[in-house]
Amino acid sequence: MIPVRCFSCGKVIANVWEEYRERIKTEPPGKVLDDLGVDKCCCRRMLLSHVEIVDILRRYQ
Amino acid sequence: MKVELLELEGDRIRFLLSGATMAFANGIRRVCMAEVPCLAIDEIALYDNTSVLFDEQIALRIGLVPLKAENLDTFARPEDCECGGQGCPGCRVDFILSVEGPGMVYSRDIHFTDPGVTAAFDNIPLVVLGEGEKLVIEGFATKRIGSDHAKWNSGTLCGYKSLPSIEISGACNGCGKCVKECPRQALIQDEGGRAKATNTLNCSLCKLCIEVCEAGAVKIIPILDSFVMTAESSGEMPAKELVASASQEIRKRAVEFEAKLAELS
Repeated sequence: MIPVRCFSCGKVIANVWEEYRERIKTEPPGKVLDDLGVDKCCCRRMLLSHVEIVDILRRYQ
Repeated sequence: MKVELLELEGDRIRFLLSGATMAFANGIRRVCMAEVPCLAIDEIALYDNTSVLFDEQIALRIGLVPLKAENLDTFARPEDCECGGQGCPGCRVDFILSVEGPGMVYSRDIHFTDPGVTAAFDNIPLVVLGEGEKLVIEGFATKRIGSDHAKWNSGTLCGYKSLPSIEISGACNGCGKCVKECPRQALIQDEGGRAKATNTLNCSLCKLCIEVCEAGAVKIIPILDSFVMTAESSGEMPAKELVASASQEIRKRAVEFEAKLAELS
């Protein structure tokens, strides 16, 4: 699951996660982040480097 | 003291504070970050959790959701409340979260008993539920400040810098190196090729232009009583309100301090 807030600055980033995930399929991630108003490097790395493993783990529930 | 608004956009504000000391500017910054009270979910009771996340992880995620309150002033901090911290409608807002899978649980599924209180963002994914999985949580939110726990931080990015004054002396030979070097585009070349300061507010005082200038014509002096202040709220309140409540908080403390001093003398 995407962390609710940025680890460094505390800005809420989880609210743009689903839109980000959909849009990066067709657009460059940097441009999507600019569009979504995520402009600090600390918040950008939260979304850029996130790997969603909850769906994989759920199979072994 | 003078305040000039430079930029205001929802949860972000930028203003020029002049005629104040650096201690005062830093005071506002610190209060914005850690002393402006707001609501956050404080304690929960999990009745059912068959999701993939542990109870503690869900508790953390729910706690970090920022809450918007229309009537924030009517709530008291638990230790200042008439009930003495026991818990009453004056210092608590109860909520219930009950979802059955399959599907994603969002912050909008948190239902508060007070209609004036809602999650600031309604699409924060909390946990994903599979077929037949259930999540039933009951709990309450309290009003506290950021120095108690980071989930009560009303301001996220708050900072200031001294307003720079960029001076170009007559020694400028019009090489244009400083204009190219400036990462913030604070310098341009005028008709004669000489460097000229254009938007000084953007200058970050990195002094790259001074280093690159062979003629030694560029001078950057921070104006010590003017500050470009930036504040960003985490969503509980608009940035304007954040700075206003920060200054009120400083005033409240100053009054308290004055009363304490009067007691002593």
